[in-house]
Amino acid sequence: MTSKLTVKTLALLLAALMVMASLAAVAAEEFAPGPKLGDKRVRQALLYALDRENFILAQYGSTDIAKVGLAPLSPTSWAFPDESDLNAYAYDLDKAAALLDEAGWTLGEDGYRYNADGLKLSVKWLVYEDSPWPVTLSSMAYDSWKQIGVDLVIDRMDFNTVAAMSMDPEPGEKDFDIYTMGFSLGADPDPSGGLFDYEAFTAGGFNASGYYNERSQELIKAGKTTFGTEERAAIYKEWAALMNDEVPTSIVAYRSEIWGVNDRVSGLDLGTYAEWPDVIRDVTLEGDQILKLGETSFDGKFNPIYADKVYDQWINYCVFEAPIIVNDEGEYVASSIADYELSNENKTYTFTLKEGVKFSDGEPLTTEDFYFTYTMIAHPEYTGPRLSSVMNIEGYDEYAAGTADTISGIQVVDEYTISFTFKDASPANIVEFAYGIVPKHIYDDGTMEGFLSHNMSPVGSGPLVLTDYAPNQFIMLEANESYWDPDNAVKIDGVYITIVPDESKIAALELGELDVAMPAANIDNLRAIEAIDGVHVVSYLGNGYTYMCFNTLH
Amino acid sequence: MRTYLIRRVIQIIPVFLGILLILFFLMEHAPGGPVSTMMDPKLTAEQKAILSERLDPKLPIHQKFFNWIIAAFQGNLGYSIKHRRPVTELLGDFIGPTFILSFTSLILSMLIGIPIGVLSATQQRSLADNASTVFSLVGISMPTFFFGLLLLKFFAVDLRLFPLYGMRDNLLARNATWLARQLDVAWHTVLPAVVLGLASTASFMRYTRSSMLEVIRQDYIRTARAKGLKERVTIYRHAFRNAIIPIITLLGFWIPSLLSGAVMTETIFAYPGLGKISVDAVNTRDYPVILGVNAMLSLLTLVGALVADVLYAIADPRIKYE
Repeated sequence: MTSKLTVKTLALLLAALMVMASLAAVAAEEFAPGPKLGDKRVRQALLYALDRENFILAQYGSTDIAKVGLAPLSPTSWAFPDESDLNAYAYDLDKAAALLDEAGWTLGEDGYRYNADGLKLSVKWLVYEDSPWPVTLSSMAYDSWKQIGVDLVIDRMDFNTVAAMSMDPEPGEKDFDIYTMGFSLGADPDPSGGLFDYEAFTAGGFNASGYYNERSQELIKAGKTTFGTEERAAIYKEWAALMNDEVPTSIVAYRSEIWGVNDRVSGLDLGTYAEWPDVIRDVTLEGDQILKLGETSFDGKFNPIYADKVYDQWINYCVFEAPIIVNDEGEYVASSIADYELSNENKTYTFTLKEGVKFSDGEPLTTEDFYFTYTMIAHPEYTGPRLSSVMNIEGYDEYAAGTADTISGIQVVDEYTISFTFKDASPANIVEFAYGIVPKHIYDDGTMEGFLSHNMSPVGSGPLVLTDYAPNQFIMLEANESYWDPDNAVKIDGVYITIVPDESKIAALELGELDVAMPAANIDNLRAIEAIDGVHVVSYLGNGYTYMCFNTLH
Repeated sequence: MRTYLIRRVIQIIPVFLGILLILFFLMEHAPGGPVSTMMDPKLTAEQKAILSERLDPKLPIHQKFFNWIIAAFQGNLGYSIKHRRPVTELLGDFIGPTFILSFTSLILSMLIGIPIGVLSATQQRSLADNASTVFSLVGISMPTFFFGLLLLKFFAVDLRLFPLYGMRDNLLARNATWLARQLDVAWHTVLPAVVLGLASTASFMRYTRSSMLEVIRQDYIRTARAKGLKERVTIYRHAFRNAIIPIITLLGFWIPSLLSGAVMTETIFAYPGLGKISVDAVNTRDYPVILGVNAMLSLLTLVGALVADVLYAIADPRIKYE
């Protein structure tokens, strides 16, 4: 009996292995790496021949402000590997030349390299001019790559065109060798759907490199299905080290944020993962009780399910409250308005809202509002960036197709209990609840237009209330006098945010017109703030990074 | 004159439609789209495609064109993709500040540019003339960005005479009297208006000067002088009136820019005008805003040219329209 079972198990295992092997073979067949950037040694050679430390000095003025990028995770993340395990590709032209020789690219008489088929090692880089760094980096690369025999063709355009040329075309039609772009890392390390995920190598997908690696895909999948921070950290550490070695896309630099803060402000809690209003919750001020903040621009979408600009989201975090927040370690945890439980093989999140949570107009926050917020995302006219929050929920497809009246995966149990069931279990699903809840009794008039009409005069349950707003001029946030949780209310009267051009932020700090401002991160600005009496610098590694993507099919 | 006016107004319609058609064609063929810059890896290609269809439905260009025109006649310019607000509402927010800024700078540059132009023509090759030539060369070639920051450094930071940024003191605006609020706006507008007006002051100066030089050499000016008319009357009543034609042309072209906004000036002084909004709209491919702004500006350009034509006839009776 036992032997029979073992044989059966073995047979099954063998069959499963064969299926997996054939699947891998199919995937590998699809991935036909190009002779140039498809070869890992060529990608590594290009990185060795790019003096990124010098680039940082040229662009930011100091290696204190930006650091050479190592792996596609934030160095402050719990999933970041030991730095000594990672290759920084320190500038080394000899090593770069040796790697190219090894890869079969030999120097021709004209000083450029050719392979055995007579193909010239010439690469096209899409450079946008909307911000200065890609221009600086590509010009530096032009000079140093020429020394190792690589011909760089720089194609200049605007940001939108780079995005359209790299990501939008069908996989076989992506016409570039390299493109560069800036991005910000979320608090969760899950890279699925992003730059390194082969499943995102589609028309419009984020992975434009076309790179396929079986182990990488396994790890991405494992990270998505494993629960527990420690277990996930081990997976992502291995994955980050693998990407550091394979470099289908290289992280060029991590950048710090620099704030100038007036000495009359104390208790400002800025940090990589600090969410407003936690940043200002404990702020106390000497003198005038309004904190004056300078910012460059807002889109004016003060609506948690529509905002796609970081600064709009700041306002949303102050005005609205979400069931899930990010803590200082970058982990997603329950907020003060709710608790949650995971059940049904980790697919179902059941939230219990705290009783007594009130919107600023005095009405209680209940599951009706929670449910309403998610039905607005599922609305056929919804055009915000949060679609993924409902698309992975059970029953969404039927609802979208019109065969069901409600989304079966969202169940309102009672006034304070609601459950969400996802199609697949994943620790990354929790991210979908990190957005504020809007009050149904104010926002719901049955139409999307009516819903959007509150974008500039939001009402939520947060510790601050937006009392006045003039586009491209200012935003006035005042303390919510009737905040439901008086112990965690803000201690100041309000926050007055003015639109201040980057060039004037430091002057305004000096004149005392602003208490807090974040100018562009570079050494000149840092020194200028340090030189002001009564103003100090707060600096930390931000979650913004710049990357350089190689088209591995070329 | 009346038949001419009616004919000209009717002519505007096909020209305007032609401009719109070109705009539609250009936008159809511009690389990228509003969804290209939505940077969220949580957004899969499939979701992007859904959003793209909702934001910018794939219709044949002629259908898009007619839909837009019909809606525009009903006062509906569509919904901004970036701001999720009706375009008319968005334009309404920014047109006021843009007009205040551009109008102030236009008046400023005419008040300074035209008299100095006349002066330097009548006193050709004098010290004043040479100084004005140098000034206008500097004025035309000085980059707005640099001049703006220079003024800010000197007048706002060092002397603290003018504010650093913005169009009004928003905290003051909440409880001050009406007059105090208007004065506050005026005070905030001085520096940006000077920066914006510098280049146009210089061109008003040059146009006036060269046109005046041509006119004062004419026989009828000599006749006027021979009659014993005062020099001031000769210059201002007889010569200037005839020299004004090129200035009217310049003015006609200035009308659309009263509302087009000035990106650089607005950015440096954080003046909440249309310029920055329209440039952002191009960068994010916010088609309804691009269309709304450009349609408005091309209509104004056409009207500006018409106004200039009418003014020619008023300024110079020799010009007659049939």
